[in-house]
Amino acid sequence: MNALTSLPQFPWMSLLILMPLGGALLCLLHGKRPADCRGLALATALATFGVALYLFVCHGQGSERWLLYEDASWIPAYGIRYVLAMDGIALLMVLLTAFMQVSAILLAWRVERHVGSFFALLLLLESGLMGIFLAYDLVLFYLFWEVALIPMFFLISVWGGEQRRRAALKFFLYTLVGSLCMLVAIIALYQINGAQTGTYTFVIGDLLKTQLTAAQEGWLFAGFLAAFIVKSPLVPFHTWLTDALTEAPAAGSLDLTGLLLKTGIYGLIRVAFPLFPNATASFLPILGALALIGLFHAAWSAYHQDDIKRLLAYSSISHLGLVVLGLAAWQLTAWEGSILLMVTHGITTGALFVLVALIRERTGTRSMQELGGLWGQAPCLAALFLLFALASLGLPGLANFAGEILVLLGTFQEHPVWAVVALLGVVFAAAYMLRLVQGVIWGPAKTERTLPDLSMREWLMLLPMAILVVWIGLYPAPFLAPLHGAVATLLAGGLP
Amino acid sequence: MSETLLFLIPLLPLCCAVINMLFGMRLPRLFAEIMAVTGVAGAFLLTLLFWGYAEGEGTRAILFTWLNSGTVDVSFALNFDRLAAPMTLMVTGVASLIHLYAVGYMHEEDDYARFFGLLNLFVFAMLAIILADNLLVLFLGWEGVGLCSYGLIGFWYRKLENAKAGTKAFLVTRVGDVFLGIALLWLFAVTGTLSISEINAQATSISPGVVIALSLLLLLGACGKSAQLPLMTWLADAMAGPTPVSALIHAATMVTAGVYLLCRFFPLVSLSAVGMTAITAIGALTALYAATCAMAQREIKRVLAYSTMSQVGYMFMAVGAGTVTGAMFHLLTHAFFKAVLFMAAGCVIHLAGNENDIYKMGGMARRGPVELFWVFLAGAVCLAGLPLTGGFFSKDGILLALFTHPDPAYRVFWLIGVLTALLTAFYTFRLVYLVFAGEWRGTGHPHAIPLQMRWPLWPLALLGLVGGMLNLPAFVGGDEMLHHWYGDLAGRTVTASHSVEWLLIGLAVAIAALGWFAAHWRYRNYRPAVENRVSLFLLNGWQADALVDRLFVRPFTAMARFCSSGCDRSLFDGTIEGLAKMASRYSAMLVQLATGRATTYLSAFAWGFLVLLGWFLLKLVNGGGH
Amino acid sequence: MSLLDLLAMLPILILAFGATAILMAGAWYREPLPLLVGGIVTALLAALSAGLVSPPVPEIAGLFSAGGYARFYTILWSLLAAAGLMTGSRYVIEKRIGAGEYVSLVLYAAAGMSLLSAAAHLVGLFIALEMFTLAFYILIASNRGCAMAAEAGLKYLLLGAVATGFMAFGIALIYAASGSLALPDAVVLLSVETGELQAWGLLGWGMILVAVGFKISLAPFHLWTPDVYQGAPAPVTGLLATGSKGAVVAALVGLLAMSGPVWKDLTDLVWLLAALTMLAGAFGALGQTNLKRLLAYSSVTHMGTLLVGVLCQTTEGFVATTFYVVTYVITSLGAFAVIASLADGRGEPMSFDQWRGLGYRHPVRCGVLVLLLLSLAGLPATAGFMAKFAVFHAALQSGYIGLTMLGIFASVISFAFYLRVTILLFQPDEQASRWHQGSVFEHAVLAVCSSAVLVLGLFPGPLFDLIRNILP
Repeated sequence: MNALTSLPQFPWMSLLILMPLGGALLCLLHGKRPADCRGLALATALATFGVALYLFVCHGQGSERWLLYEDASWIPAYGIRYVLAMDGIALLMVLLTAFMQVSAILLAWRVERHVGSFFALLLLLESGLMGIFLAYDLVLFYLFWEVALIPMFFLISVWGGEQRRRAALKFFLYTLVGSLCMLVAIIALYQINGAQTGTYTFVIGDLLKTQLTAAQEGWLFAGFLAAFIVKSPLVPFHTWLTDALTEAPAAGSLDLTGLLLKTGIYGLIRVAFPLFPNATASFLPILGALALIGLFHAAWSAYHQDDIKRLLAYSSISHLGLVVLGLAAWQLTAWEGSILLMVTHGITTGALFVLVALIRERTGTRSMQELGGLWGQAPCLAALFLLFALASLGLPGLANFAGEILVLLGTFQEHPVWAVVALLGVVFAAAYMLRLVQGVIWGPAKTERTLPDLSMREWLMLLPMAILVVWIGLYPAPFLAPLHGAVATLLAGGLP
Repeated sequence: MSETLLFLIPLLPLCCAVINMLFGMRLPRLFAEIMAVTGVAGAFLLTLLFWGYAEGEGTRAILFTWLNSGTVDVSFALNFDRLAAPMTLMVTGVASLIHLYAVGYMHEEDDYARFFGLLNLFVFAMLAIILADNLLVLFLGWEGVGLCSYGLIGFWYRKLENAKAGTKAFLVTRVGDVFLGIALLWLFAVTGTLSISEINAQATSISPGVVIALSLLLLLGACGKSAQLPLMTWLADAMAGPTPVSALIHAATMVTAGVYLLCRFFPLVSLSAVGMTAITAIGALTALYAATCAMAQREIKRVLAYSTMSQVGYMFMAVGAGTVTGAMFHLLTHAFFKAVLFMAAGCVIHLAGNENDIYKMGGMARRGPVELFWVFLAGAVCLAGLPLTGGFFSKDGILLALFTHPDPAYRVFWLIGVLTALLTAFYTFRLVYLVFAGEWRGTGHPHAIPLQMRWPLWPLALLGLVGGMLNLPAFVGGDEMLHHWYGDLAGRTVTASHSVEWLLIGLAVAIAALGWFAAHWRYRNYRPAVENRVSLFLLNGWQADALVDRLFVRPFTAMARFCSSGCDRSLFDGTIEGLAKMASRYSAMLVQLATGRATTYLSAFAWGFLVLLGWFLLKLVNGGGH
Repeated sequence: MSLLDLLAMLPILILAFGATAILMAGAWYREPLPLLVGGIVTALLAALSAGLVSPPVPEIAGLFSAGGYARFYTILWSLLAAAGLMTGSRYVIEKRIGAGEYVSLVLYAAAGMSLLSAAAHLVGLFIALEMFTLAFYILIASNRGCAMAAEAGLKYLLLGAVATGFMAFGIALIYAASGSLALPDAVVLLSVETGELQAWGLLGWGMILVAVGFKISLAPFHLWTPDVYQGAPAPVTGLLATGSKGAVVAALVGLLAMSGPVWKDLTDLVWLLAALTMLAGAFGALGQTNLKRLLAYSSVTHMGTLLVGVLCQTTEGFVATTFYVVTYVITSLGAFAVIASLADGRGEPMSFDQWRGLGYRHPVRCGVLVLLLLSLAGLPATAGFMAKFAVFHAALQSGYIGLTMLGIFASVISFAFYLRVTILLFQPDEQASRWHQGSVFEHAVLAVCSSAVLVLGLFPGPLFDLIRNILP
């Protein structure tokens, strides 16, 4: 593919995928001794984060080509190869994944039941996510795509809330339908391309050259879209998310909202758009419309919720609507904004889910009816809650604003009306977020007992997120730098 | 020294704010308070120190790049020019005094760190608005002041009403911000830059239609922050916050940010006659509306809030009439006397034992320290526009500008202005009489008034009284200092024959006197208020809240319910679960086939074979066909 | 019947004579364990010989081929027999069943399957089929104490007899039409247009299809499956679900691969069968509350999917089908082995109430069960996925888009019911009781199956290549 393949290099990306996997196995083996599992899991997550950070620092400089590329034969019988590739976007997602996972594991510290399996599943999920963000062979991509579902399924169905079984099944089947459609599309594309070129391959880069009739392209694109839109999720395919997020255990919902949702959008960027440029071009308006509908629908629905977790779930949908809108604008600034927003949304909403979990631990409820006056009882907790809530409603100087304003600036240049409508959504975002804040930290305290404020471990979880939120808000340049080249090439429709 | 040091002006309060927010509770209280005050005072001194930079074309400085993607290149840039400098000086100066006042006012409050942190943060955000050379940085300040106002209105969060008032303020202003945001996007799309100075430079090259739209959008954005029609409903409720906050944010500085915004973009806005007329109209209507409301209010702070609204309306009229000088002149004087009024009101409330209702006051002149009455009176006469006070000159300048505007339509606005002046004089003295005259009608026990709350009033009262010197009109021997200072930024130079000017002066004096006498006749001796439909209507601000509730809030909540319960729960989930149920029904049917009786299975066998035979015969027939 | 033929038949002979010998020994010698071990050793020997001794002649008496394809399956079935004996050991010992006959029957069955997979002549096909079917009649009902088992055996016998009738009649018709019983001629001759005769031949094929449909339980001939599976002891069910079906499919594939696209006339019939079977199985399983019945229906679905692969009648299709058979055999056997390994005095855990929360009592085996179920469902990184992938690939290549979509639909539903079981397993339940901790044999089988599932899921390449080479 390019020079990087020829010169021998250390398989960093495989390391990123295998390290959590190994950690997961070790956790399973040490299932009897919870303390060891915690240590093991944390160590693994930190190590993975270290690797990601190293890659970010040393290979992060945005180039038009792949930053890293690994290629090996896997199943020659079907021309399936083990191809990993990393450009700026993937790098950012990988970094986010590794970062969030550390917090997730710290958040799961208090889990009592079957600690070993819990951490094993978390780590398995991490390696699956890494795979999704790095795979460049469609079968490999599909493999990770499905593998990432299983841990989440078990996290929800075993450690979840009241409705966990229903939610877990809904989550799995909903996404499964989409991904099976994608599988058919993958095979079909593979055959068409093979028939044309004579060499059967699943490597995305080679499939880009496939000649497709309009009908073929439309159908295949639809197949991929089914998987990605359900995962993103765009209205009306979003109801699985609200249930799953509400029922999942804290760490699970952190990963689900912070990372798993991003895979859908990442799939659009990395797979669907490049493979089917013409179909994409004709579909973009619909995508934009869907995004706007989702943005408003979710914002309104969020305002009506009483369960704060469910409210945050809807806010996630609303934010991702904006992300998709940026993609639909098909404009450099908007795209960079969208990707940055993906990252920042992961951090802010993730942090909010963490805080919700902590509040739940202390007060034993998630209903706004029974919460309130938190500021008087746990000021630090409340202050952080306020900070992340403000970040999430897009306050300038905090992380989300950087992404949102880029999306809007970019979108306005292509579709002014979209941008204006999306901007109106900002008011509603403020409406439900302030309602949340009002219900949780202001007002009279509902319980007499003094709640403990943040512990050391909880500070360790939240402080980095808080710092990042401010940092990205004021100086996002380091996180935008890797994107410039990658986004430019993707918009040009070409492969890096 | 390099111009980058200018960033110290906003960053000093910011640092103090951050320190106070992070460690305030761990620091000794005195230290926290001193830091808060010095942070702002330091900014004030720095402004004086750097004054030279503002002369001429002013000075631009860039700290570092904020956002950089494609054609977007936004950097933290400030522009310390002739428009910004006086405003900066006023804000930092007034803010320092109010901080000092607040130290006394909040001395019983435990949660001081949050208070001073937010207050300092507010000053930073306000300075960001004033100094920003980049529209996005201005927007940052714009949202920042909104946030601080939100946090400070709801400072006493244990009463849910306060929190609600804060939320309301944030949301209503956010509506305005949306329009400002649209303007921002549009300006970028048109000019390809977000630097305010460059935008103003390119203003003439923008097509007229767009300019009209842009100026209207900017106007709506300004309305949100400055509590002008139709986005004015939040200001009165905002009085739920501590009095220093009302004095600083909701009287002196933030509410005038809208005016400043329009002045900033004056080169652009002034290009569209439609926009200018709209600005004047909005200002005029708000001025009148607020004045009428102020006449019927019972709470002292609400009276002042409505008067603020109406005074800001004057400033809008000034901008609309094309005189930036007039607007800024009134902005400055108003900042002084309104701040003093609020702070004095705070003392009054202390004396009345946290009693807000002016009908339960009275006799304050004798009840409290005597100087309190005098400083309040000083502020009142300025507000009422009695001759030779600062308020008198600045308001008169505006009325003159309106009167002499070439467009005859502006005579109407002038009339409204005059009428409003009359009302203003009336409700001001109504307030004075009800609060200070007569006998004490209240029940509460007076709190002591610490020193820090007393003496910051004096300099402000003084400034209010002599504020006229800032821009004394020529015909009374003044040198129009402010006007010359602004130079080419000053907008239209108002010229009129001396006779006209004297005429207007006379009229203004007559009006003020008339208002005073009316109030004197009605309120000199206390008579309990008569509740009638009109007074109630005015008391509730023309039922604006009810209207908003019916027009927006209820539909919104209904929509929310529909989306969440109607769509998601019933429609989408319903469909999915319906499918699931269907599947299980089919499965039940199939399971029943396996009865466990061999005969059933054999018959199934037979059926299968029959199908096969049938298919086979079909085949045979077709085969026979050819 | 020359010496060379015997040499070519060596694995079968080992199985058969071993079985007879053990039967004899069983008559005098009552100690079960040695007999079982003997049986296992015999089976392994057979597999070994099939693997090592390359046959000198391509065909044995014109009845059975001795090609690589045949030997491949001989190995598979012999190993299956060994596994079956290992899983069955505890059952035999605890239920006091004559170890001699049990072992010998299993070995006979294995021999029969091996022969069936190697059939190159309709008579040979018939003989082989009957050979192991008879063995199964007895095996199913081997536990005389259990009424359910007896009933199941009876049902299998009854329907099996009918099926046999169809089979025989079908063969007769084909002979009448083509004048040959040797494959592929019996088929090839049909495909030439000989008017009336050819029609009779088709009818014959149709009837054979009915018989086959019974053996591999295609809808609507599948109704016996859940009852028999439930009634039969898990070790036997394991063999029945895997070998008896796999062998038939293997024979089908073998003869189709030998004789080119003869089914072009039968295509739409088979299409219909496949579609019906997939859906009937999937929906049937959805409503089950008994794991064995659920697995029965799931096996029905799998047979439908297999039939899709067969239907393609392309090399891709045959490769896919064969791979599918192998993975299905391994996975399904493993699943039943888990059940067998948990069985104790109370019998086997079947109903969902018995399974609820078992994952916390027996984490390892339930974990294995989950893995196997997910493989049956076709989750990537397990063998099941590669198998489904191959079949769908072949189907799409042959243009069976409709069937593929049906298959996708069916597998969505399959995921639903497999996942329901996994949820059940890890549902916190205090009164979930402990079951037998399982014997060494059973654990060995489970270990082999689960690791095979993973290995074949991650590195299926070699097996695919092997199959591609040995297809006749």
